[in-house]
Amino acid sequence: MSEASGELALDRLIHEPARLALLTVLSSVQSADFVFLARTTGLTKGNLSSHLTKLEDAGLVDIEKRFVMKKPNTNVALTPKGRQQIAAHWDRLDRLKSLAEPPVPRDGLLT
Amino acid sequence: MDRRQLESAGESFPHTHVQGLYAVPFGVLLWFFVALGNVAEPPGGRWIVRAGIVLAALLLWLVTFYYRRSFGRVTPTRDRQIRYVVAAVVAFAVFAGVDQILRAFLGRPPEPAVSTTLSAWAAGMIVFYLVAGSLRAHHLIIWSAMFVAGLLPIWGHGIDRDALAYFPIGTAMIVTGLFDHRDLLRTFRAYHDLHLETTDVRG
Repeated sequence: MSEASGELALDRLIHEPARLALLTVLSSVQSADFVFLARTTGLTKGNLSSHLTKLEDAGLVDIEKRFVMKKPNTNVALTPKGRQQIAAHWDRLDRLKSLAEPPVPRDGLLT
Repeated sequence: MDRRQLESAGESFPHTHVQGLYAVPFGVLLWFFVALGNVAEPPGGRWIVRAGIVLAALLLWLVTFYYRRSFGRVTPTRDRQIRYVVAAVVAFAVFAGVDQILRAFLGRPPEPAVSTTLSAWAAGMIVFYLVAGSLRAHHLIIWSAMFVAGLLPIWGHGIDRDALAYFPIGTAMIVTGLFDHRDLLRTFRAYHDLHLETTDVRG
């Protein structure tokens, strides 16, 4: 594998659509709770919980279980590593997308 | 998957103007506390002002309960918090500034039977949405209409002219809020089209 293609290799843990969506939503806030993440992704509680556990194990998110007005509340925030990795991942996706686009014709050479 | 769409959920949602139903208690407060509270003789007496404040507080509690239960809690990034505060400060400055400029030209109180308060508030609201980065067509239509309405010579010359302006302001706040809430519901409905539930948890 060339150096360039190595740079563009995608992390499967992040690239899985549900986890990519979760990390992207979390990258736009300081923190969000379980209910909000379930609403934005449409994931069931069980699946959301599984995805978050994987992300926590990888050190990409911090999960805080707390009580808000005597009710249990799960709050999730990106770790600095998670914030850096999701930004890098989208950067790679944008570069791959631009590579996949057909070249822009120059001076009528490709017409 | 649309990156911007997903990011906008987190960026926009924490703000009360996107959670449009918050405009309902605010509008009710403007009707009862600011409008009725400042007219010389409120219909029904002073108790109706107090009842309005209690009603607004009750509605605020219900709206907060509804949003937290249905959509959850979000803490915005520091940048968004700052932008929101800046938008509110700039909007208030525009409200005060436009009101003073209009009175400087039209007199104190204004010679024509116009409402500078309504027009100034409308200008402030448009600037607020603009600075907050969430100006939509319905904001522009509703508040532009209010701006024009304030400049129509229909407000009389009574001492209650400024207080009366808060009735259409409160109404416009509520209508704007209902449109914002409709947009919020549509946005969240669109996320379900991503069909993420079918993706592999183990992958």
